[in-house]
Amino acid sequence: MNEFQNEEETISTLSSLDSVIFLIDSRSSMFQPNEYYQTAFENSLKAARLVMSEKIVQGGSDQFSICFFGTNESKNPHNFPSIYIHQELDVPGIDDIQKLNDIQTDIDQNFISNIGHSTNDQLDFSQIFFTCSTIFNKNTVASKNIFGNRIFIFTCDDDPLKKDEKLLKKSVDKCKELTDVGIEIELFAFSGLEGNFDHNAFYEKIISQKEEETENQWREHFSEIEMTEIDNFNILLSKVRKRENKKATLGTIHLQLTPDIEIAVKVYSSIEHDKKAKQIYLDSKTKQEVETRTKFVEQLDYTEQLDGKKVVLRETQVGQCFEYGGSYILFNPHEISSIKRYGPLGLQIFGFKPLESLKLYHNVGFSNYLLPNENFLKGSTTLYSALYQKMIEKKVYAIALFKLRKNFGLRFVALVAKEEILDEESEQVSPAGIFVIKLPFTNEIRNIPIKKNVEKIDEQIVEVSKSIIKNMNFHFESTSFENPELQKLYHGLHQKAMKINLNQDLIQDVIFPDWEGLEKADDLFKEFVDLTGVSYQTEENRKRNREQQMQKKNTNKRFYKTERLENLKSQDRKNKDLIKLYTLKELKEFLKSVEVKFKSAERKMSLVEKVLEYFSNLETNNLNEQQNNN
Amino acid sequence: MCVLIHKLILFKQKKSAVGIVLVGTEESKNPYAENYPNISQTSTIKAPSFELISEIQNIQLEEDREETDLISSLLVASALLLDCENVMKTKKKNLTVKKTIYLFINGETGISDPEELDVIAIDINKYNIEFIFILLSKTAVEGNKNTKSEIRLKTEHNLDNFTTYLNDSIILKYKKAMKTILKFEDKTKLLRSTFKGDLEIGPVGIPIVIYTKASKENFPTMKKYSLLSKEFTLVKSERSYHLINDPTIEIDPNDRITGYKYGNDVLQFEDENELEKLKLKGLNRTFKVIGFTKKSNIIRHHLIGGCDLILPMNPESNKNALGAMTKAMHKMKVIGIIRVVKRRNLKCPSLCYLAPYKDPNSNSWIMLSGKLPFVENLPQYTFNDFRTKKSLQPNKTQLKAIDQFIDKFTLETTNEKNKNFNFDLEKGIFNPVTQLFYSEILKKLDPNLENIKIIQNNIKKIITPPIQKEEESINSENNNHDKLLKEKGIEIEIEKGNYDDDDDDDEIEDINVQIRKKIIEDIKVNFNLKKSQNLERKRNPESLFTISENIDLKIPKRKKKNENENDDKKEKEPFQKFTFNDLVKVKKDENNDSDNENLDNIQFGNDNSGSESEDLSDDEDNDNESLFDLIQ
Repeated sequence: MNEFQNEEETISTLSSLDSVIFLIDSRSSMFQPNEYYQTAFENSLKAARLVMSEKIVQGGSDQFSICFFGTNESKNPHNFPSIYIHQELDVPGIDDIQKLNDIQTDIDQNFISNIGHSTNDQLDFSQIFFTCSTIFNKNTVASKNIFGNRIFIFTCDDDPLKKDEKLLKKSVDKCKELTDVGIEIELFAFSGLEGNFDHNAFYEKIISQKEEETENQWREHFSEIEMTEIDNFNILLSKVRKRENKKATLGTIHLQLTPDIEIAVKVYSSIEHDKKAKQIYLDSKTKQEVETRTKFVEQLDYTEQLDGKKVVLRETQVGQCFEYGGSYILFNPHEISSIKRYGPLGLQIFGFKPLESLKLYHNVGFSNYLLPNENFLKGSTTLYSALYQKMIEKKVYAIALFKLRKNFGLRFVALVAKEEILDEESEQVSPAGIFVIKLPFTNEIRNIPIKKNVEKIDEQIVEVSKSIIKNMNFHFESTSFENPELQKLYHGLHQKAMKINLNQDLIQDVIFPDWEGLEKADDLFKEFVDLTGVSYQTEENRKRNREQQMQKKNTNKRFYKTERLENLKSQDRKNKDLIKLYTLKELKEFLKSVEVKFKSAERKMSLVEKVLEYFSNLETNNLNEQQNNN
Repeated sequence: MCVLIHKLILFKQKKSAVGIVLVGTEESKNPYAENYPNISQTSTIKAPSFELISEIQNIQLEEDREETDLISSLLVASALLLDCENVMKTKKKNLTVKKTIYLFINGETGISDPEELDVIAIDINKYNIEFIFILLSKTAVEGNKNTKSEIRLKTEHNLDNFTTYLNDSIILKYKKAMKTILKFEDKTKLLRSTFKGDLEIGPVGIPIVIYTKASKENFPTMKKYSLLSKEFTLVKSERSYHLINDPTIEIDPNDRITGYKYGNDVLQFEDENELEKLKLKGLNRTFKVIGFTKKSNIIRHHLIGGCDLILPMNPESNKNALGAMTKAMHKMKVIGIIRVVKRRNLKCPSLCYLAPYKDPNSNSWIMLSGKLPFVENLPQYTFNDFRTKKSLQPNKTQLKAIDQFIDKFTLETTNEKNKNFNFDLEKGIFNPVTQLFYSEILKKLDPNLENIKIIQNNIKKIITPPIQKEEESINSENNNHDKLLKEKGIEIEIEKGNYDDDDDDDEIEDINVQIRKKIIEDIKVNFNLKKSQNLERKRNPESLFTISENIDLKIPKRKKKNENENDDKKEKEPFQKFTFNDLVKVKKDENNDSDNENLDNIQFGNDNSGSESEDLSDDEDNDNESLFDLIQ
């Protein structure tokens, strides 16, 4: 029932924020290096820092706190021993990241001497949980937003209580209090240093609190990292990342098989939009953030009558009109919204079609993923999985009408059942279940006339093509390529934050073929060219050609540019209307050349004013000089 | 015909011109009147406008004349078109003009020289004119179906002959013609390539052209106007900048600098060069193959919307290199992964797939391409398997029920037996929302336009699941529809005439219907779905049929509650008139200043209080519509 309530709330607020406490074990066992000179402590700190800074540059507003336990020093509101709150729960800033970076670069200096390990190996976990709950409580009082609260524990000790029954009971009780409020606990256990990690000893009792929890679901909150593996840090990082990103449903809707038979399904997005840090504007004087407001102003022809006063309207006072044959058709806001809201909410199955009839181009927009929601409608899971099994078995997909929210447009979709896809490291790439693929309407598919090929395809060329393909074969995964634009932005922001000089050459666009591999197949390419008569150009040739072309264009352009700049300097200097005709780039270039300062977000009209000002200043100076000379 | 011109105005406003030629008039107003009598041109060919529509509505019908000749009217029309084209070409030399003649006839007018048709056709073919003959059935209007006059049969035959001689022509019967005319196809899409260049496979460069195959279209854009002012005024949006901490202080846009949020802090970028460093630069136009991979490595639901078609630049030259490559890819079951930068100085290269595709019409091998996601676009979390709880897994009888369900609910692209179970994406599935919008425009222009009801019914048909359509048609059969017919009066009879009845619903279909019903019952019994209470609350009962009628329902209501007091005042004020007189009327309640503040509240109140009565009226509407379904 608890989960269901959360569900409703997330739908209603839509902006659920997450808060995470990183609880890092700081006893001496965490500082034992493995054969690659890595320590579990260093790795967990690094993972926490990277996840935090990644979230920041992606524009997330999740809150993080870092708390060490098993320390010598203590810093917490209840003055419990061996608990040190390093970072209060908040959206981290530059300083927080910098501090963590400092600790990590010199652990001996910044951590061991300042904070130190506790001498007592036995821990009172109830105190730790109590501290966590106060951290969370402070926060919920301060802000009214609903937080998905989670605790990430990093440890290598499988029995921190040293089999003390009293302590165990206290800890388990305290932990139950936490889980009852909806706080989730995730465990990242390091093994391979002091033998295997025995989750039965203590942590299983903490994590598997929920009554209906099955074997698998308890595993969901538990990740084990082998410190003996060389790649252990990356494994840890990816695991922390996956746990950190919470599955956010877009909502629960009804899937109707017929008008009387329906089940409830949760909708997730299977592809996400680019996540970027928010670009904002600042006031250049006070360095305070500036917000943009949009006003609706009547475009009046009779402004003179109103003494030039503007009539500012509220959003409800604005209707929309459609230009039609020189006149306007008027709609009030209500009419427009009821047209846009037309259609039934949810998913309605129209019928089934064989999978072959789903063409590759039958795809517009991002796809979604459906999971049954048993809390809304009992029996949903059973019907969902029956449908899933049969759709895979019979190789069909369903056509359905899809409307996720009231003000979202209608769309026909294909419901396609897919089996789970795992990558080479048996990590999930795509889950099993039914996916929603958005189909184009008839007017969105274009009929492009294709001429019939008179000539038959030469089988010899096909054979050569085949061997070329064999040579260029590689294993592609959806996770193979990073977006160079985003990576460059992320790195730039990090470097700026850490006050490192911007060196952007580190991030390169890598979406290129394997040149060396191509050289081996050179004979095949030549054969293909001989057979077909298409052009043959090595990459260097292409580059050279491109440069030559660019040079030609540039010389033309440069000539043109200098000409225009000359014009600006000589003829058009006094005429505002003529200066307006120059592009923003040209004006900026001109102002740079005459060393007039301007701001990055400055508008064109202001630049034009500056150019005019510059010329008038120049003239007065000249006049003064002439007078002086005279 | 009005709808046709409305459509022209909607979509081709600036780029098209229309003229009307009447056949069989008493006067002979045309430049070639000596040779072709009894044909008159109402106006010069010009951009479609309201005047034209009113002109059409003012045309007075005359008695049939036997002496008129259809072919000569066509000749006059084509001569007019050619003149017009020449005028247009003087302004712009390389203009290509698409010329179309729509001929509306009832078939009672004759063709004088049936023997010379082929000769005339050869002449006309020179000018690349498209002919669309629309046969209005006069008999249908009168209600007698099976009798066709001799002249009509003759002209039909002659026209059939004529079309065989013409290059580009088609005969449509009224029913079929209206079906196509009543759908609002969006702007004619120009076939414009998005990229021309080489498909680079290693050092090999195959010349290609890329066209868009499928892309998402948005709701038509509109301008804003003021509800406040009494005269029609457009509204402009203006931006202003304020400090977040103190919104009273307005900041000059030129005093802003760019920054990026970094958690709680803000990174300031005062220097423009520093900002530039964050961007990826120097991208060149490319269409480069990175490599080939197994088809199964591409996950269908990871594709990002839209699709391009890749055609060879010159199919004749290069010995069809592209076709050969595509065929090889198809045979090896691989898909290419490519780097695409369509224009220079784009912000980011895109990662695309390159898939072989055999065009069913021309049988030639071409390629499809579309975007793939980057790592950043993939969600970073794992899902649990929904099959873990064994108690919730379906048993054999449940699976069997679903099995039958899928079998009996199969949609087909061409299913002549049961039209309800037809579904073809490429034909007739238009976006219902935009269709509704355009039909609302027509409704606003001319509330009496007879075809709007049909259009809106068609829209509703699109979004009704086939099973529901079937039920509706059965229910309406059981109704005593003679009574309803009488209530509806003449209008329905006309509709009935226009649309030939499909009485071929065989007994087989009835059996199928029963089987379907049984399957649905099976599923209900087997799965025992229990609705929780939250369900009803969650669900919006209104959302099921908020068809446009609701707009009409609500507006008068608001008037009633709001403006009882002001009614007297209102009547004295004349209606606001704009460029075209009675066609557009501003709803007065929006013009009143005081009302606007309460607008939202009042409406909300209305919805709650009047929900019952609304439901009732909805039901009535449903009945009417199901009747339409039956008739069509």
